[in-house]
Order: sequence, then structure tokens, then C-alpha cells
Amino acid sequence: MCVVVGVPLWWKTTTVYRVQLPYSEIADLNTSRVTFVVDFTVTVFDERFDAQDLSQFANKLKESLDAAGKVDDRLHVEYRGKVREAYEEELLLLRQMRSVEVDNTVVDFDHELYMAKLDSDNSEYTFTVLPPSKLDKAVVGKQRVSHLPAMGDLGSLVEPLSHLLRHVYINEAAMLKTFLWARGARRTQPDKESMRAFRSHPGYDVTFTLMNPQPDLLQVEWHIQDAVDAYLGRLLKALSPYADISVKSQCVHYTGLGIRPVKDDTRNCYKLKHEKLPHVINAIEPYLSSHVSNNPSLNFIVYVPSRDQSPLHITDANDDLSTTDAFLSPRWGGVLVYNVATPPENATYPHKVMLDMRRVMEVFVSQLRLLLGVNPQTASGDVTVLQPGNNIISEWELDQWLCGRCLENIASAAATLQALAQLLAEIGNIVINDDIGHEVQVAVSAIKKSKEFLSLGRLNDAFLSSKQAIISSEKAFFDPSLLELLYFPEDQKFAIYIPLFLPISIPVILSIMSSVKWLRSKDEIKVKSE
Amino acid sequence: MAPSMGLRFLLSSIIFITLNVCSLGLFEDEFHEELFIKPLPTGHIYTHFQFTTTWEVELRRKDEFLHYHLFPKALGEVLAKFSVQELHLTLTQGLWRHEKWGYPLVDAPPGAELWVWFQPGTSNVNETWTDLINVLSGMFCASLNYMDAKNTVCPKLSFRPRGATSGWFSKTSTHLLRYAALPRENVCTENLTPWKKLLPCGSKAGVASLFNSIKLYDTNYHSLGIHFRPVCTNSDCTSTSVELSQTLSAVLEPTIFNHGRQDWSLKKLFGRMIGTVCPVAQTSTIFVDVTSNKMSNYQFTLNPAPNTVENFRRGRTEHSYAIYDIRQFTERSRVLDLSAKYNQAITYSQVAPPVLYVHRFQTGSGREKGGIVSLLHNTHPSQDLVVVYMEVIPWFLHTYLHTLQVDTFTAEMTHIGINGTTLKPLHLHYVPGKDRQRPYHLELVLRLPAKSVTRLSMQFERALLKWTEYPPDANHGFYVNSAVISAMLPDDTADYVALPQFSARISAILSGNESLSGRQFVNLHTETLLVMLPTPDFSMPYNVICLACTVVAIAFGSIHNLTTRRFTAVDPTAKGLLAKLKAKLPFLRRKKEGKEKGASEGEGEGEGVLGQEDTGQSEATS
Repeated sequence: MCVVVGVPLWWKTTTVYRVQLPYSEIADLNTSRVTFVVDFTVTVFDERFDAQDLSQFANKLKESLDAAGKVDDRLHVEYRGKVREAYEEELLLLRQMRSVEVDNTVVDFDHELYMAKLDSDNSEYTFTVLPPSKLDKAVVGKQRVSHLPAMGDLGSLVEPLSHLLRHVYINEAAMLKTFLWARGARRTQPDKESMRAFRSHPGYDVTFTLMNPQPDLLQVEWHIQDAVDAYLGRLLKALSPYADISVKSQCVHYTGLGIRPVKDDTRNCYKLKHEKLPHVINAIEPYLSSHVSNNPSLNFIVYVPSRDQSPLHITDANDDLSTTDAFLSPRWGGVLVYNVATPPENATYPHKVMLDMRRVMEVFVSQLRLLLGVNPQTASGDVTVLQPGNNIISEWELDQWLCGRCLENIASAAATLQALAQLLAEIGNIVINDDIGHEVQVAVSAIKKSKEFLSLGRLNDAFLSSKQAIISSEKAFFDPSLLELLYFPEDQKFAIYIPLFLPISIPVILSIMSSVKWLRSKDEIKVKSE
Repeated sequence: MAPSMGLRFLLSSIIFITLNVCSLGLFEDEFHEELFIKPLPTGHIYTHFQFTTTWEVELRRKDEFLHYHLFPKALGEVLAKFSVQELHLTLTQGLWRHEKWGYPLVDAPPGAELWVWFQPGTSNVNETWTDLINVLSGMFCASLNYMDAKNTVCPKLSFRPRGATSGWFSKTSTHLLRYAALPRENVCTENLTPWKKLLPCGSKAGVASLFNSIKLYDTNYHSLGIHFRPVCTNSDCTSTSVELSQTLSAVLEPTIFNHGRQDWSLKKLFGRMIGTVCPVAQTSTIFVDVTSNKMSNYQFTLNPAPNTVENFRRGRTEHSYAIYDIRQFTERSRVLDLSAKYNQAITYSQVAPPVLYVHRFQTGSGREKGGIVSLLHNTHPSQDLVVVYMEVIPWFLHTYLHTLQVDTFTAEMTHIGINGTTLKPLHLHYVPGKDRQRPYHLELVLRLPAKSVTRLSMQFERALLKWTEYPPDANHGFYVNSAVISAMLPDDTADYVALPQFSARISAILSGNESLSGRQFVNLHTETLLVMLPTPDFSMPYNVICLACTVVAIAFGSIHNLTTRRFTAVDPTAKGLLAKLKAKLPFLRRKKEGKEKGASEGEGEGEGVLGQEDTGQSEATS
């Protein structure tokens, strides 16, 4: 009776509630290969080439790209392209383009071509092969279009085209690095670029801080609202579907730098030494934390030097003055030292100073690009890259950013799930409630979906799924209910059992010892009697 | 009929808050720093620092809370994120003694108190409140995160919005309001530091440079406050701005370090002087209440002399404040050390109590039952006072409404407790508590007769807590929140000046608006109570385990021995261990041999020795 009722009851009351998790799927996610499809079109504007040339070129291109596509066993880039002749409308646009050298005409052509939207929705990469009379050098456009001059026959274009595709548009090496790094492969040595940019996150808080250590002498003002709208508005709009970026600003008074600048008599200024810069941000740190957001914060500081340390400049390792008086702190933000003119003799204090927001934002925009991980345009000798201008980020750069973030999200979500599964397997006492189970399921399916989208070449959807995956996996991993883990810690069990087991074990051990002794002596007797 | 009339009157006086004038400059935000000093009749000095930031933004538009200038970003983000309409937080060490000190500018209970109105349309108020208290607790280094459902209530009448509100808030529904207090909270420098950080100049310039933690916390009463509310920007109240008022009150006792004299100076009070003004402040002013100079023979002279002395009437009393514009006194790097010197040493006499004051205490003995008694004094000679009394009692004191008794005694009676007349509350709101879920919440509207003491009593039973629910140092006892009394004081109340509703600035008191000189709103907090609960001996379970285990082990040991050993006759010729030992010692051997001889002669042979041998040994010998 006792056993029939008691054992199931004991079993039921002491078992830990654990939702079944898809352990094998999680393990698969981490090892399976990610395939990424890139679609592109080559439009040939040069009328010298006929259909046969084009198909020959297409085959050659395919061969060359197929051979290169396999980046790594874990990451596979598949290039899927087609080659066609330009449409009449496109040719019309080309004819309007006047001369060769002037950059503006390329820009116009680039823009017009984009506006014409002849290729469905412009989501593919397009390479236009222009007659050499129109263009002398490869140009990477602002959108997803590149322009190549057809110098010789089409075959000679295979090399520059695949270079553009693989190393400018896709940047395979950087992509692989992010992917492996996020996966937690410690073998890869972190490089400057991956250490500088923030890791992929669903949102970022950008804070601009104006530091005025002497408000009694200088009344520093800035038009931050207008500047943010003017300089960052388009970037924020471009990124708004993918990341939740909030921009805020504040003014901090009476807070100086954490270190004393050194006086430089020869240059008649004060200087902040390169190696001391990390200490600068310590003094400001208490004013920067946010209490309401878990997003990483990007801090941009404008520091107006105090009168007794002005003008203040930053020096590099060779003791040369920096041209911008600004520095970037990896995964933290940037600092700009803004020297203002000494107030006139008869000024009334506090003297009013208005900051030139163009000077400020120029520095911060380029720093923001680096911190967000938008890779700098790789302009080598034979390729011109059109500057994104007011957009701050051109469409193909955005694609590259999305792709990198997407792979990073997939890899780190999979790694998080793997870690969670490992933790749960190691500690059997942790309760896994339904919420965690649900989040894990969502994350697993989102990773799968994201991979599927990548293999279809739908980057947008892939990124959004991967974002969902990372949110869910982090939520599952950091669920507070996991911390209420141990119903009864092992050491406490020990503390309670030891008063019982220690006194009981003494006579038991003694009698075991004596019986062992007796058994041995019995054997001896047997041996003797034999 | 009478109760509903009284209630309506009260609501009209407390709820419908209309704001009058608020003049602001052309700038989007401005900051004012003020220090108010008032010598109290007991020889204490009441100092009140008031920092007011107003910012012209529309409270409901969250996208305007992005770019901060003087308003602290850290707090602004929190207020915008959690859709806060009004927020009032005080952190206090010590008890304000209304009977002796009168009323402070901002009243606060010992410990922490927080009440928040959320904006209409806030979806899940309870969740928002939980998130908000967690954020605030991190921000101010206080244990505000303990303000969970177990001690949070929605007061119906006591806490109405203090700022400009839309018509929505004039309804009696208070589901957007949350109130909680932590009477046990200690306040110290770790709370002052984050509070200071919210000021545009920190404590590096202006009157805030007087903040000297050693002096500030060596006081009889110390209270930090943050009050956020929307205020009107123009007289018609067509647009609103937000106002953040940061207050720090301290009651110091100069007579202790001054050989019994009441003379004081900034240097003596705070150990510092004022050398600068906060440059971003619109005004930096010190107000000294010099009303008492006219009332009594003990007069003090201020050095340096103030810029102006302003007289104004509040009710029937003429008040006068000496005003210092700090900017003028600190020009050309001078320092301002304000000091007051009395013409003669003061002999203290009994202080006339204010119109309304309350005492609260605990009754009963033992650890099973008890009671809470409040004595509400109305000292006004002719007018009745209508007050709202609010009590929040923790769930572990099971309170019973049927034990609520309100009696009133006229002041002639020497003993309170006999011949009282039962007073019927005008309105009663009671939410019974639930174990581990919500506290007992009682709100009463009472009409206190003139010159009377009203005794309000309730009985409670102490609950038994689970052993994990006891705090560390459980024998210290459990605190019960202060009761809160809200009232409109009659217009002839002496010696009380409330801050006007349209601005938190002290200078607004002087703005001489005639419509202000009427009835004044007052909010009082009573003493907190310390209740002992039946507390178990926490080491008992372990002791029991140890004892029971030992008993089991001893029993097991002997039973084990009995069951595993066999008793056999031992061959007397085979020498045991003791015999062998004896054989080795010549002295013992000789003795024993002598004895054995005698024994064998007397009793003969056949002496059996019962010896315990282990089974193994006995088997081996046989």
C-alpha cells in the first residue's frame, strides 16, 4: 500500500517541471550550413556584342563565381545571375549621358536608371556594361547598380565583375568573420573592425552630450534637434525597419575630463595624449547611463574645453595634432573636442557661443557608421565609389550591413540556444516553464526561416526573422525563472543529512571492517586446513 | 444628507484644482534655485532647498522628450517611457513634529513615499507601476522595488493631482493612481548623490554647494523630494509645461553646538558658505522667515542685511520674508555667509500647537492582538474641520472594520476616553486586505468639531508569517505606514504658508495674488508604528533535525550492535588485550599474581568470564 501510493506521490511531488525542448534541432542549427543566394543582372549597353557573346560571357561568369562561391564549409554564397541586353529605354538614358570624365553625369545616369525601375523592384544587383567612350573606370553607384566600361571583349569583364560582387558588394571575408565570431569560434583572432562595431542588437540608443565645464564663463548652445533631423534623419529612416534607434541629447555642466591635458608651449596649446584618451570618458560616464533601455548606447560627446585649457588638441602616437580633434572609443561612442574662440575682453559673462552643427555632425556621422558596423567604402585604384551623400548609407551598403547582421544574428541565436541547452542538460534541477519552451520554439523556427529566406535571396525577410530569433533566444536564456533553479541546493541537503548519516555510518563501517577481517581470516583457515 | 453635503464640499475643495497664473520667460526651459530658512519656536532651524525646473513641452507627446537642456535626461526618459502624469517621491529620515514645528512646505512621512498618477490611456497600470518602481529604485539607490502589490493602494480621496490636469482627472476614478510607502527605508548619502546629479549644476555651484553630507545627515529631520507635474504656461491654461521640483528639507539644531544660543549662520549650519550661483539658474534666492521678529521679544538681526524684506498677508496673519539675491552677494568672488544673531538668550516656553495635528500609537499587549489609535486634534476655537484620514495597514495585521470606533472629546475633558460622543464618518472607503496580496486600505472623511480631540481606533490580529517571509533581524519588528491626513485649513490659520498651486517656487508665495489668501491645503503624515509579530526561533528546524538524527543514530548504533554481535563464553586461559598489557608491566603482574592466589584458594576454579567478542573472533577461536 505504502509503495503503491507513496512512490508515485513522492515521484510526482519531487520531479522538476521541464518542458521538452528540441535539443537535436538546436544541435543541428549550430552545425548546419548557411547558404546565401545573391541575384544579379548584367545589362550590356555596348551594342558591339551580340547574343552569342552574351551567353558565352554568362557561362564564363557562372563558372568563375561557382568556383569561388564556397567560402567555408559553414557558409556558402551562391551567385545567381543573368546577362541581358539593355532595353530601349535604358539606351535612351545612356544617350542622354554626355561625356566621360565628369562625375556628375555618372551620378545622374545612376539615379535615372534607378528611377526608371526597369528591373522589377531594384532589389537585385545590376551591372551595366557601358561602351568605353562613356566611361573609363568602374563606378559603384549609390543604389545597387555598378557601371563597368567594356574595354576589350566581354571576357575581360569577368574578373572585375566578380571582384566587385565578391569583395565590394558582399565582402565575403568580413561576412565570414562576423559569422564565425558570433558563433563563438574563439580560434578567429578579433580584428579592429569587429571589435569596433557594436554587436547586432534589435535597438540602439544614440545620445549626444554637450559638455560645458565652465557654464559661468561660456553659455554654449546648439541646435541639436535640427542637426539630428538634417544629418541623421535619412539614415534613421533607412534603418528604421531593421533596428529601433532612438536619438536623444543632453547638456552636462561643470563636468570636465577625467585627466589633465599637457601644456605644449611650442604649439601654444594644450594636448590630450593618444594613450591617455581611454581615461577621458570615465568622468562623463555617470551622466550617460539610461535607466529605461537595455539597448547598447552610442555616446557622442562634444567637449568645449575650459578656458584655462584652451585650445585643446588631441595628439596621436607620433605627437602630431589630430586633424579632427575627435576620437572614437570602440563599442562606446565618440568624443569631439570643440575649441571655441576666447571671448573678447569686454564680454559679459557668461559669453554666448553657438556651435556649428555641421562641424559636429560631420565627425559623428562617420563615427556612427563605424560603430554601427557599416563597413567603410573600399575604394581601390580602379574602382570609384559614389558617396552616399545625405543618405549616409547607400543601398548596397545597407544590404551588406543587413547581410552581416543577419548572419551574426543567426549564429549568435544558435549559439545562445546551444548554451542554454547545455546548461539545462548539465543542471537537472532547473525548471523549464512553458514560456521558455515557447521562446525556444519560436527562436528555432525563426532561425530556420531566416536560413530559408537567405537561400531564396530574400535578405529583408531573412534579417527580420533573424532579429526575431535573437530576441526570443535571449529572452529564453535570460528568463528570470531559470535563476530560481534549485529547489534544494546540494550543500544544504548535505547539511541536513549529515547529522543522521554520520553517527549511523560509524558502527556500520566498523562492522563492515570487522566482517572483511573475518572473511579474510576464514580464507586463511581454509588454506591452512587444506 | 449631512454626509453627502460634507463630501461634496470636500471634493470641491480638494479635487478641482484650477491653476491660475504662471509666467515664464521666452526660453524653453528655466531653472530656479531657492533656499528657505525659518527659525522654529523650539530653537530648531528649518531649512528648505527648492530647485525648480520648468520645461515647455507637452507632457503627452513623448517625441518631445528627446533633447534635454536643463531638465535631467535620466529622469525625463523614465517619465516619458512610463507615461507619468505626476510623480511625487520623498525619502525622509526622522519625523516632522507638527505639534511643535508647525507645518513644513512639503510634508513627508518617515521612510520612502511614492505616489504617481499615470496618463489616461496607460494600458496596464499595475505593470507600468512595477516597472517604474524598479527603475526608480535603481536610480535613487532606494529599495523602492519593495513597493509591490503587497503595499500599494489606489487612494480615492487623499491624493488628487497637484498640477494642471485635463477634465479627465476631475472624475472620481483613481485607477490611474498608485500610492505606496516604505516606513523602514533608511535615507543617507547614497540617495543624495543620485538626487544631486539631477540638478543642472550638481552640487558644484549655487545653493546646492551647501550640501555637506556630514552636516546634512546630522540633523533632526531630513527629507529629499522629487515632485513632477504639469503646470499651466499662461493664465488661461491653454498650454501646459512640465515642472520638476527637487526639494531638500533639513531641521537643524544650532542650540546644541552654540552653547544654548539660537544664533546661526550658514557656516555653522552646513560648514560651508555660498561662493557662486548656478550660472544656468534664472534666479538664486535665499528667503528667511522673519515673521517671528514682530511677534515676540526675541529678535534676531541678519548679517549681511537682505536686499528687501517683503510683507504679505496670508489669512489674517502678516508674514514677512527677508530676501537675498545671491547673485548680488557673490559678485567679484565674494562669499555669502548669512548669519543671524539674537538680542537675548531665549527661554523656551510651551509652543502653541497648530490648528490640526495628529498622534498615532499602538495599543494592546501580547503578540496576538493589538490596536491602532489616532488622536486628531482640532485646536481651532470656532471652526469645524473636514479631514480625509487614510490608513494603509500591511496584510499581516488583520484589521476588522467592525472594530473601527471614532469618538470625539471636547478639549475640556482631561481624560480622553471617557464620555466621548461617537462621530459618524461622512464617508468611508475600505478595501480589506488579502494575505500576501494587498494591504488593508481605509479612507475616512471626518468632520472634527472645533476645539476637540477625535479618537479613532481599530483592532487588529497579528498573522503568522511563513518562515521565509521574515526579514533579516525579524525581532526588530515590522513597520506600519504613516497615516495621511488631508485637509483644507480655514483662512485664519496662523503661522502656515502653503506653496501656491501654480508654481513650486517659494517666490510664488510672495507673488501677492489675492485669490490665494483663502483656505490652504495641508497634508500631514503621522508617526509610523513598529509592531512586533510572533517570531519563531529560526534555528529550531535545524536543531530538531540534529536532535532527531542523533537519537535515531544512537538507537541505530545499539540495535546494530545487538543484532550483529554474538555473545559467547571466552576461554579464560586465552588472554585478552588487558591481560596481555598487564603481563607486560611487572608491577601490575606482581599485584595480580598475589590476588589470584588468594582468589583461587577461596573460590576454586570454574570462573566464567563473559566477554564480548566480535563474531569473527569468536568463530576463529572456536
